[in-house]
Amino acid sequence: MIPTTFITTPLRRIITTRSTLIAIILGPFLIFLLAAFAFENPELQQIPITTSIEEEGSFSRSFVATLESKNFRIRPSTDQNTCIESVQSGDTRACVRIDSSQHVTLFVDPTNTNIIAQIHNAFGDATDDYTTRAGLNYTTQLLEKLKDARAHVDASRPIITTFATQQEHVNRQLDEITGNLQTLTVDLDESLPSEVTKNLNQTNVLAMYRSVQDLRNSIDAQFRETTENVSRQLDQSAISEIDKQRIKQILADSKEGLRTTGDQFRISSELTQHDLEAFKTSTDSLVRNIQEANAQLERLDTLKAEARSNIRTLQTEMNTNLLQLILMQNALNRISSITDDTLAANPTGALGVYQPVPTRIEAVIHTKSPRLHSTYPALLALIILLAGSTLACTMALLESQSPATARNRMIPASKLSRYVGIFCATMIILIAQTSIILVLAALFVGIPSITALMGGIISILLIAALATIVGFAIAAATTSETAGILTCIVVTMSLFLISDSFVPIEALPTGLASATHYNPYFAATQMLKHTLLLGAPLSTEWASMLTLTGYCIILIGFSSRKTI
Amino acid sequence: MTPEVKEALVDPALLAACYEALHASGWSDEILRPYLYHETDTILRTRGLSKRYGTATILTNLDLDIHRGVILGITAGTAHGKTILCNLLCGIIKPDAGTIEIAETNTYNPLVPSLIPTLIGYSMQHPSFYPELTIKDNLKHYLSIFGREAELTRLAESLDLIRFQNIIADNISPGVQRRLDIALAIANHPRLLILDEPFTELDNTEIHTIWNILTDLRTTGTTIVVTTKHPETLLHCDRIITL
Repeated sequence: MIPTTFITTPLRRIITTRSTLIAIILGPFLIFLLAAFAFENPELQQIPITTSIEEEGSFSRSFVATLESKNFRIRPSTDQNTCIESVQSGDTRACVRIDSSQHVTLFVDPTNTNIIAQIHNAFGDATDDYTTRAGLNYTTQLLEKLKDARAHVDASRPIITTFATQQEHVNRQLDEITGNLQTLTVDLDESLPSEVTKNLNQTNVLAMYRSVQDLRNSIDAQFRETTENVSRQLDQSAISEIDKQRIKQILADSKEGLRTTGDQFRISSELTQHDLEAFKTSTDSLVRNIQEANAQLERLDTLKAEARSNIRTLQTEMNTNLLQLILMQNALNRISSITDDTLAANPTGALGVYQPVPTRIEAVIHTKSPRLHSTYPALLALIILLAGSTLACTMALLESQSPATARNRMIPASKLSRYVGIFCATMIILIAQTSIILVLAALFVGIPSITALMGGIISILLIAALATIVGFAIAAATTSETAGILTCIVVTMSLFLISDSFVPIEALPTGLASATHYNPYFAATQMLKHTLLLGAPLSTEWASMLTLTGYCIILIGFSSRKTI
Repeated sequence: MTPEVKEALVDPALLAACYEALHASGWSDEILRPYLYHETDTILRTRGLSKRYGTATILTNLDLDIHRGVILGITAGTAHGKTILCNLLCGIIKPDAGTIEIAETNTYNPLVPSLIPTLIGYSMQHPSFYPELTIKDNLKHYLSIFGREAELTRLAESLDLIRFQNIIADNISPGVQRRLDIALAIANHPRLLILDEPFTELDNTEIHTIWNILTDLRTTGTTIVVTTKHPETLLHCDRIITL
């Protein structure tokens, strides 16, 4: 059993020393109070912004007016460079550049994430306000135009229908005319003489007559030649004279007959020539008539072709018009449909028309306690770790370097008892501090639930124990209070920097990012975040608890022998 | 080196006669305890005690008997081993050679660490207490370790600390600080009280005050060892030895 004096005496010593009382015990309260005030109002006020407007206009005026209405302090700038330099020098938090095309560019310091979010949201509101009003105006006008168009479409429909009907009627009439022309052509063709007749003329007839005469003369010549040859051959042949005579007689008869026939043919030919002359006369007359008729037919064909061409052109145009009418009707139907849909949507709010996808950056905060966001557990863990380690280190060094140390070697109590006593004393102070901090937290930022509070308290106790043991380990490794406290600050800030609270893990080098998962401060913040912020049961936080306990055991092994 | 007994202030025979007479007249044993034992009754003894630091020999083969109920003065020059002897007697450091034995009734046992807190009180050369605490808190702390919180007032009164009890220990005079240190050293009712250079930085008044306290303690049977480099301050020693 540890005498209570080993707990109460270190408490008295640390409390009665004014410097430690202020720096180590009251300091964390002051830090937390400041932090609480910082968390008290999530909305930033009076953020200074420099504006660089290339061309003054309704948009830029509206933009600036909206920002001013949101309590931003606007500082006009002459040019873009001056505007950006004001951010670089820290005079203002952001530079807004609005060019003549109404393109808005925001220049910010990327480390001020909360301010960026705030400014972005304000900018969104400013641009939305303008675009909303403009959009509402445009939309109203568009709807009016649509309504007018709809009325005109409705009025045009009967006219178009009538026109289309008339076009159909004309088309049918043209078809009838084309049919009549076709019939007329056939009739004319049938009524004209045949091609043979048309081609018959006097020249042909005379040529035929001369060819007949030539044929007769040719036949006579051949017959004479043949007769002479036969007679000569007969004279030379061995046949009897009787037979020769008979044959010559036959030939003479044939010649006579042929001559008779030739005469008859000549007579008939002469007769035929006469007829042919008569025929020629009549034929000439007929040819002239036919030529006249042909000329007329050619004119008629030309006229008919012109008529057909005109009719085809007319029909083509008619069809084109009809097609256009159909397209027009379809377009009108489409306009009607769009107008119907648009009117059915009933767009009374311009946001729904001109900003269908609004974007905002919102802090992830607890729904029941909007001020309690993820920075809070990290801050709480940091305060506990820093205060706990410095307090424990100070107390351990106070004890080990006290003039009373020599006397303490002669008292009936082990080093471990005194170690545990100082541990308990430190824990009492830390518990008192965190209790008050939690009360302040409840007042300033709110606590989600009792479950979360209980889980948070146990988490805080574990973190406080770790902080105390870290302080003891540092006290064991250092020789003076100053060096100990500085080491505590260095260790705590190092753990803080690679814990995802200040620099995102993803921004760290791979090796360091992996090491972060074994960082006790990381485990502490995760556990506090889950329990205090989200109300998670402690059973789900076994990994973090195991990590913290492991560190506690290792550090106890290191510090218990050397600390006191 | 064997300590030299320079002076014996108390005659044992006279002491025994005084005890008998006083006891017969009704004095209690509590008061007469220092006189119950003969001078030769030894509460602590060393044999062949030696201590070296590096090449420097501090103590060599020291045989010392500390008799019960006396005030033993040890005087020596600077760096002659007074403090080292005290630390050896208190078990804070270990000898290189030799033994330290403490009397348990009629037997002598080695001085083991577990015995020291109950048998020996030690007021070191530099007062050893919590300077940030008040005198009362210091007393309260060490008394509570020994389970004697109830004796706080009596102890404070006996060392004239009552009027200073609420003052931070660091803020009081050296004389009062020494008285506080003695008070803390006797908080465990030791049989042997060792004071290493208790009179350093004290004026004569304060030295006398301390002696009054020591002589009062002697009357309670406490054996006292006082070391100093100023022999003239050893006003009320029963024996004085020089290292």
